[in-house]
Amino acid sequence: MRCIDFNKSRREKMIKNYKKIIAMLLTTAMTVSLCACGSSSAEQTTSDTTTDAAADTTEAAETETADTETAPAAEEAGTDGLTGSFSIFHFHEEDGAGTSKAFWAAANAFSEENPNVTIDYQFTDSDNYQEKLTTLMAGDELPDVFLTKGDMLGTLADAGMIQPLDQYIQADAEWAAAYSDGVFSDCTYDGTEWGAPFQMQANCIGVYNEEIFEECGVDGWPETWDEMLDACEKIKAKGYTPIAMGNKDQWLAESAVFNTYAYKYVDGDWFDSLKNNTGAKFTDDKFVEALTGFQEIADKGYLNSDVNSINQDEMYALYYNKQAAMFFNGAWSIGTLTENAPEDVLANTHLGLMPAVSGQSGTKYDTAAGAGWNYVIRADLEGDDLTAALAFIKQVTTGDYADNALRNGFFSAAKQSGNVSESELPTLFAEYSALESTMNFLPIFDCQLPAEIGSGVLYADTQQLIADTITPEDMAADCQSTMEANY
Amino acid sequence: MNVRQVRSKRQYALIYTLVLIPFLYFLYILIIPLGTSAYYSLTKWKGVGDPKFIGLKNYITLVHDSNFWLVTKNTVILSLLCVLGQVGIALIIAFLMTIRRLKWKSFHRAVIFFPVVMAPIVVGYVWRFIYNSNYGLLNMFLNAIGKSSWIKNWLDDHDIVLRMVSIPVIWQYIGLYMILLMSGISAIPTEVFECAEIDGATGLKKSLYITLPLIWDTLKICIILCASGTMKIYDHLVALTNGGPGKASSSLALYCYDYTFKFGNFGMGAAIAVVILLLAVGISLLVQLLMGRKEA
Repeated sequence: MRCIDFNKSRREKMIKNYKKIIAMLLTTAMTVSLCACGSSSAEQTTSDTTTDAAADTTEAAETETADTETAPAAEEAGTDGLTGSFSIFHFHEEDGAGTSKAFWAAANAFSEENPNVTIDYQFTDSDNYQEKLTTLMAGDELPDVFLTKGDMLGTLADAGMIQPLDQYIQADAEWAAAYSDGVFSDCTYDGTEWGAPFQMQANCIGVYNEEIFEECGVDGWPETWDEMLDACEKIKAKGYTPIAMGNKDQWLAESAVFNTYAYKYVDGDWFDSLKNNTGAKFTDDKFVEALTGFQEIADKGYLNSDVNSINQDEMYALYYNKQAAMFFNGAWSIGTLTENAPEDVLANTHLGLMPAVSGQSGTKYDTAAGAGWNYVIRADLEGDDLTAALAFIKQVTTGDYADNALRNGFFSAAKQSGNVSESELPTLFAEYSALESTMNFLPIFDCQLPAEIGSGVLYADTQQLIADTITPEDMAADCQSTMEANY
Repeated sequence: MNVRQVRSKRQYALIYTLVLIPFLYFLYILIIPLGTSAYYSLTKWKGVGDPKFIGLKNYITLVHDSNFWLVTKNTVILSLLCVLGQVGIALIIAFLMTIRRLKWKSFHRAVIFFPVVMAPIVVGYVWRFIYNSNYGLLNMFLNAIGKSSWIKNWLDDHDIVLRMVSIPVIWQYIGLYMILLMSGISAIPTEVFECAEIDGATGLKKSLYITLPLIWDTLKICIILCASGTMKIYDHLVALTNGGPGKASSSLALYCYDYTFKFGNFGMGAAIAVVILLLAVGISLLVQLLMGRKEA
């Protein structure tokens, strides 16, 4: 009996021990899985952003290990091009049109010529790009090469997170000579050029349907603003929406329309003065007049009534469906139109410059335009990696890229070779190309002003201006007070 | 006895160790970030370099910012509308579900609960198409019933936009509170209802005087969840209006996001986040206070 008792208690003990062990194991498993959750989600994000380039990098990743382990061997293999590795954060879709197409053509060519360079492509779509970049910046996880806009340049430069690019561009005579004039204005801060632009586009161009114009008795694209208002009246009377606008995302009305309209009243010097706090103010009479004039288009019912709740794509839809006679938008819409517009609409589509306002100093040629985004390099990138990154930036902004840009319907920031014949250009782009050569490029507000104004108050208040819930005077005062808080 | 004591100490150790693990995790993912946010709200920080301590300056700027008060007002109004709409309608439906003769109860429950499982951003886009002035279902419907004079710019009109954006939010979450309230009702012993019926209580009276007091605590939880949940409303608004026109349909969370990620002003973003937290806690306490405990 004792024996049985003994066995029983032993068994109980063993069971208890097992229970403990199982409990410990389960706890460990839980902890590990929790930790794993944390890290895997982090990895997930990275891998999400890099999926686009997965194909390109796997191949190169194999060579990377060999490179780092046997540096001298890599030097010997110098004939095969550059070595090194870097990461790049960008918004060029692999199956996109226009700028994206040209980027990938150049990037793939670079990888073919330099098989020993490992590039870690990190992609985020352009709508969310800036937000993601801000997050990476705050977490001190900036990639080696990334795209940035002028409004963030000051913050990055002051914090010593990026290195000036002009020193490298100037050191390479061929590279320095490749860019067109004035393309560096969006990446100049404190007298230094920090980045390299890849495009040079007008932020505003008038797009109209000639057939609807004729039907409404409008004789061609208006030359003055008064003619424009007359035309709108005639078009409205026929039941069409004179000007389509899709401003749900708040940038379109301000950046792609009002910005250029404002240049009919104020000039580039005024903007520089405003930006550098040397006298000009948003509350200046000229600017308030511009706001008043702009509000008039909405007040008179020349815009679609749902202007603030539809987006850019829905705006295009209004035009494609022949519900709207015209719209104003950046030159990027030319690529979209060529690709997506119904044939009959595209055949009747022509372009025009925003007319000048009589009695004001601005001409119809004054247009907000610029490079917008620029490639910049992280401050601590050096050695082979830096050399490779520089060569990459050169390839995706100049040379063949410039010619390829034309074929894809946009102007790069670099000079083209002149070998692209007009017949190779999309029809509408050829028309734009002719207009573009007459334009007087002026700075884009939201690319150069601090974000709290450029993509903050200016956007939100322009939306209110159209909705008639703010007066031009109040809007000017609101912009000015925010501007003063940001000097 | 001695053996037992030692064993129980060990058990305590084990219990505390086991509790400590999730607690540390909670501390790491919630309490510490909360503390750092509170700290960042007292600094000027653009996301790069070291945050510069500036005391309460961010809060002072906020107090003087008319947009801040507008979005706070919007958020509070949305919360009120959502509590009335979501919990109110859910309560009525839950009462109706107690009707014995009602057929296909589980079908009704499933249909009403369905929107809850949809992503808010999807709901936002679906409703944006419903409100669209050209091809929207709402305008089509109004045209079809000959009430085209009722057609408005649903999301463009400054005066009605806030009510319009609250409708999808209410529509989506009615199901959630309905389920919570129904589970509260099902926990009431059937004897209570039978007694009430014997005493002559019918439909409405039974709901108001028997069911409602007995689910009072569940109702309180629902209201707290709904009010504090709406404080952080973001996705619906992004999809529907992006806060527009101007800031007419913007919420505190949207404002916080703008400051943090669009303007890169992390200090101010953190200050707004702290305000959201305080407001949510404040509202929860207020609801606790107002609704008290019925039995007491």
